[in-house]
Amino acid sequence: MKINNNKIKFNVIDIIISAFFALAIISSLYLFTQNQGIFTNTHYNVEYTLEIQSVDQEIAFNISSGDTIYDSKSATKIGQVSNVYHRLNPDKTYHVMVNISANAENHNGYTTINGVLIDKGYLLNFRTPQFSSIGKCVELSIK
Amino acid sequence: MKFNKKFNFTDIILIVVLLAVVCGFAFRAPIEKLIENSFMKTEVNYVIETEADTLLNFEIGEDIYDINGVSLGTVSKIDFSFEKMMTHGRVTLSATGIKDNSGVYIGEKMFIAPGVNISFKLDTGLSGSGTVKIVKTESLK
Repeated sequence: MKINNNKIKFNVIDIIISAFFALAIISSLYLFTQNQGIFTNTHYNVEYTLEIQSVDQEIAFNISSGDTIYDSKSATKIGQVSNVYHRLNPDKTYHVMVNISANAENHNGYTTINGVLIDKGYLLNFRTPQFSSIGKCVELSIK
Repeated sequence: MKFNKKFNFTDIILIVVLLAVVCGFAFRAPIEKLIENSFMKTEVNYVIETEADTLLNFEIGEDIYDINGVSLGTVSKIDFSFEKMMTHGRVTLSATGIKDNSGVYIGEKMFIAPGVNISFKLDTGLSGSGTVKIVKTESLK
């Protein structure tokens, strides 16, 4: 930028820098207006339990502690398995309860994990690297 | 700083940074593809359980496709299940896929793991669905 005889001249670089600033401001506004700002949300640790009522015995043990849980639709991480409990059903399938730990956020009173809504009673289409199923959230507690 | 006359050191740095950003956008996809092909490509053998009626239409060596026509692999084995009163059977497929920390993918980044339901169609036009029971990988390196 050159100030010559009280006249301000912009060069190409100035325009590019201005464009960068404008983009940064627009991005920030978008971030905050979408209610996803890193400062505006409350983060907390949660533990939730997914119940899968009837899992084929061949794949029931493909899920174990330490596995990362992903939302099947968005492929975002929604926690880590802390415990798994299996119970054999009369039809030789397994009733599986999966405890999952995650860092959650509060969005207008709703609990979300990386943007995925979770609450007691919700059905969640989830997966791990070795397993995929639909589980019902039967427990949700703040740690 | 004078327009079209002299570039100073800051201008050069800014131009280099901008070029790097532009190159990053332009070459991201091919570089990702190169990394995938070099380090993550894997031979995938997987087993789908499906209805026996559907299974009758499979042939060893035949390709199956997803609903968009992307190949999901080649049939390598067909088994009818006696445990399930011949109502269901299993087909083993071989495909080339990608494996990373989040799992195994075939076709157009279709996630595959035990429990996944797959919709497929055959060359004959017949379509069906099944549940993945077993997934095994073998590195192509």
